[in-house]
Amino acid sequence: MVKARLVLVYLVLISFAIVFIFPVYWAIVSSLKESGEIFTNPWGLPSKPLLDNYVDAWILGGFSRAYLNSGVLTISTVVAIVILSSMVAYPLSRFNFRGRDKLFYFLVSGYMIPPVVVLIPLYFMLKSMNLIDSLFGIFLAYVGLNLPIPIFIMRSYMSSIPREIDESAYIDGASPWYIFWKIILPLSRPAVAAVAIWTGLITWQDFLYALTILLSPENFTVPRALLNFYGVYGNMWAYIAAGFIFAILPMEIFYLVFQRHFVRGLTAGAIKG
Amino acid sequence: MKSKSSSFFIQVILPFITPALAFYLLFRLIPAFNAFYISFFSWDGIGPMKFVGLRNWLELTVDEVFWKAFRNNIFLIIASVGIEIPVGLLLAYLLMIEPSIKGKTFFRTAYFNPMMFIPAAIALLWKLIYFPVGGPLNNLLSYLGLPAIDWLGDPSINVWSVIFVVVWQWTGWYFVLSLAGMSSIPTEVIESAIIDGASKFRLLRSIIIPLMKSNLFLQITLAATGSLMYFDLFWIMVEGGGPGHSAEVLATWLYKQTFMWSKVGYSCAMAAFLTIVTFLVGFYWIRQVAKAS
Repeated sequence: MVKARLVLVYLVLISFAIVFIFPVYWAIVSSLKESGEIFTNPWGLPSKPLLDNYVDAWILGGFSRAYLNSGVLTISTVVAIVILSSMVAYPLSRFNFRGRDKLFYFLVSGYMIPPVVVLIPLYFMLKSMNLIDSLFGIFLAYVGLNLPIPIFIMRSYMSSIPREIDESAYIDGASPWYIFWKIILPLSRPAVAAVAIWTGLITWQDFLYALTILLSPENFTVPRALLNFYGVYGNMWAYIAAGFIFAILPMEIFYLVFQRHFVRGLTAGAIKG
Repeated sequence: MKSKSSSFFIQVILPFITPALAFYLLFRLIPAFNAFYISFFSWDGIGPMKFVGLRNWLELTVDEVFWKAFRNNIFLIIASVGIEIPVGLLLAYLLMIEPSIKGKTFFRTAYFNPMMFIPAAIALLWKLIYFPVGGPLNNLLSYLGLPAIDWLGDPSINVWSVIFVVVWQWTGWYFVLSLAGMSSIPTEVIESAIIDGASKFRLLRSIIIPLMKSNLFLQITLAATGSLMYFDLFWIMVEGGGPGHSAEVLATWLYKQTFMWSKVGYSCAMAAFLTIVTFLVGFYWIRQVAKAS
């Protein structure tokens, strides 16, 4: 009876694991096949695995440039958001001033404005500032767009740091800037990690803003480059499968190495406790 | 620490707040308010704006594609709330309640994994999987002796084909949110229920779910608001919204109005409508977040 139940549980767990993994398995085996073999042998292992598709896809898809653009954009957005969100969270969590909670409310509730809504007026604003088809322009948009959740994460974490710690430093004559940089921010490392993971993932994955703001191939990020690649080589399935692997690989490696941090960091933005 | 004077506010607090506030206002909030403003004008994005009052808003009421898109968003909400959350809850519960299960880390990794993938990449991969002629899915169907299906072309099913992939990517997210919610339930509560002889199903229904109520409400709110905003997969997998706009959603429809047909005033009315609906649906999340602080 207990045995039978355990078998059933395993059956459920394993079938869902297969559903989530199988498409990726298909992408991997297809990326190693000759184009014709994908049709004659759609699900099986490649008869003679070849890596040429990866070389071709990398060059034809412009992935060197796309990786560079995505990498620079993601890292600079993460750095900017970590700094801005921790700075604003510091007085929000440690000083009493009028309208403090309203300000917090105001900053975080913007999360409910759909990104596509912001995009339309923002596009015309960036256009008038000559920042369309500019990595700097999309960087500004990413920073402003993605601040609410990091502010929420930072503030909840900083509120849990005992106040005695910075109060004694304050009495000793330390300035608020010193306390922020040397005491509060180092103590908030878990929140910094959570914000960095949340922001990094959302920036790396963004398609909507990249589609609209970036126009020329030398500015394309990975998702945008992949779509362009599909537009030209869509009938070369092995190429597209290899491009899919390129697109998912960096985050996948981070995820497998820092798995617990990923899960904790991402859930911190959605739900407290 | 108490702020003693307004000079403390100006000298200390303001410098910490201003940079983030400026970015937030300039690149998120003001554009959103602008959308409301522009919705009362006729504008092609280049020329002068012409005030038209409520005309754009009235046009919404008779735009059939708009309502079809809105309906598809509601389908997406139903699938997210009705499939992603229950399946995520079930998987989290099974992993928690059977201590003897081996490979828990593997299962957790596998379920959450699709969340790491770039949606645009997923969209293209599934376009190949769904391909009508020679695609692996239809290959499987013909192997089983079943007729081929035009997954993304057939207007009666294409919206569900896209929704399936959204569900495929996002179920792992609600799975980890449920795991987080369950891990905050004291183990004694669960143990004493088991000792009292509660069946596993009773335990889930009468103890776990009631204790996770606010967690589940947050999940529902996030799933619903996320579904209202959703863009990526619908844009890439079904070009042009499919035959008769069968797989159009609000985000793709207002995107086209703006960037293909330059009907910016009209698309802003749609955008403002979408914002209002999202705020109404997301109100619970905002309230909880404010409470948590």
